[in-house]
Amino acid sequence: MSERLSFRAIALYGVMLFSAMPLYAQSEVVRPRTVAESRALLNARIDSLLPLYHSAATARDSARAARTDSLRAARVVPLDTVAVGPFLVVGTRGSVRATRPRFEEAWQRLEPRLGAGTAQPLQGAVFLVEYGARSPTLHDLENRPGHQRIWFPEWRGTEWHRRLAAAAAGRPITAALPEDVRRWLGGGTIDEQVGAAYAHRQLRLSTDPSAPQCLNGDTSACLALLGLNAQIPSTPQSRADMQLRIHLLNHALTHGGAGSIERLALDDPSTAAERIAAAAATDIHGLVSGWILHVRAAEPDVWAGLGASSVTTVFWTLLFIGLAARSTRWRIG
Amino acid sequence: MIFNQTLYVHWKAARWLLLPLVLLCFGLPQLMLRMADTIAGTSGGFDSPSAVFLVVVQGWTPVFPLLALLIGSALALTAWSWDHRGDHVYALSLPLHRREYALLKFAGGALLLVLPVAAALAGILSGLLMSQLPAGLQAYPVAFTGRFLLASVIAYAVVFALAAGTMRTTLIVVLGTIAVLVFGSLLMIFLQDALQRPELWTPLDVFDAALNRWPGPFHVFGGSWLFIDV
Repeated sequence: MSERLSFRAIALYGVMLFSAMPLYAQSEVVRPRTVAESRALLNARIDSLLPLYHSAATARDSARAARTDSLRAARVVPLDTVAVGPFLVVGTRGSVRATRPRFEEAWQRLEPRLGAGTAQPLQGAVFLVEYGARSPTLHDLENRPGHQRIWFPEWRGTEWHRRLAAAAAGRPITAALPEDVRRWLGGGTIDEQVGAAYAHRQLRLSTDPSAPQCLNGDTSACLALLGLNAQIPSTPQSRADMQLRIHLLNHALTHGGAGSIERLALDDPSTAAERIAAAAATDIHGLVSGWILHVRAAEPDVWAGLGASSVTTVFWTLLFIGLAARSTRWRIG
Repeated sequence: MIFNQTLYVHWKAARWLLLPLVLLCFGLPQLMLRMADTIAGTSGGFDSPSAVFLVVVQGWTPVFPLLALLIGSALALTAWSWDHRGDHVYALSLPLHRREYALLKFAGGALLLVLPVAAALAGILSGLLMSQLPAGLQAYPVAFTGRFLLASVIAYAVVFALAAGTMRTTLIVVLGTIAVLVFGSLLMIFLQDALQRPELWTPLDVFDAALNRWPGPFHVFGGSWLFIDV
């Protein structure tokens, strides 16, 4: 049985070979390819693959872009916007909640001082606030016109945050001031918070020969020191000089009260000194005289608080001695 | 007589720990003045040399409250270390009440505190002799020394009270405080995020307020520690 089967298989194989012979006879004669032919063949195959490669690269790039977009979208935190006076405060809900009171304080201070004409610079101002962590979303918005990004480091106290908000709110207003006042401020901004004690220190440390006379109440010396004695005000010569000018200007605005910033920006007075005096609603000598009294009153006192500290130290030390004298350690047996 | 012995025992326990601290108290003001002098002398920028000098001094200022804290803690811990090591046998053998013994110990440590405080004063005075202050600046060595003394005393008193108890009590108080500060702050940070109320106080904020505000025990640490000012 098996012999018959193998015979049939061999016969079938033979028939198949025989019938395929004419087909083989019609095919090209196989011969070895030359190097040039192989190269041309390979080039042709590579060329045929190029469109495929390009489409694969395009697909890869779009996949990468989609992945980046999705990652960015995942990182985007919803932003809150609140209006404080004429400007907007934008940030994450937590940032806005934490910093809004500082902007409200700044606006409460600025609002009465601003007249109808000077309210314009703050209109449309947007403060992008970051409380603690930095936000990449706000970074993208920063370059838009009228937008300022302000980082409020969490570890800094309220006083620091107050200064940041005041400086931010003061920046658009300063930018709208007449050129001579801006030059006199030398990069400083309206409402930038400079402490009177700091101003006192800077005045005491100034190398300007008129500084001691100024501190003694000589208003002409103060005007010379602050660059207000000439028709064209001088620019600040040092950072300390700039801070003193900001302090004087803030004093003038506080003294001038309602509409003081508007008066500062008026075209009518011809010099910066006159503008500042107009803002304070007084004459320049009266203003500087009041300012120097204010600065002198804030003389830093290294002894300050030492008496109170002595009292608390004695009290708490006695309390801790009392605690130390009580013991469970000796109640043996 | 007993006071002398208590003081001697405390001195023996504290001297090697106290020595580097005394040297620091003496050397740091001098180093600080020298650095301020050098930096102010070489700066030719936007600020006056006096202002630069003051900024350098202000930069170094936080070192001194820390030093006062270290000194107070070191003296307080060494006040009780021998008692704990000897299971209080020596103390129990004395014809004294516990409160008298604790008072004697405290007084001995307070007397030893004079050493680093005097070293700080001497360091400032010698530093002032060796360097010339820029125009407009003045030295306040006595006010600084007073503050340094108060800070050392309060740090000493707090750690003394802690170290007077058993090791178990001390551990409970210290670890409990750390746990409240760390875990409480973590919890509050979580709550701040969850409730979107970042203005909520963490235990660290509370601790900071206690440190700086009157009438907290550490009020003295929050004042002006400048020994050079206008």
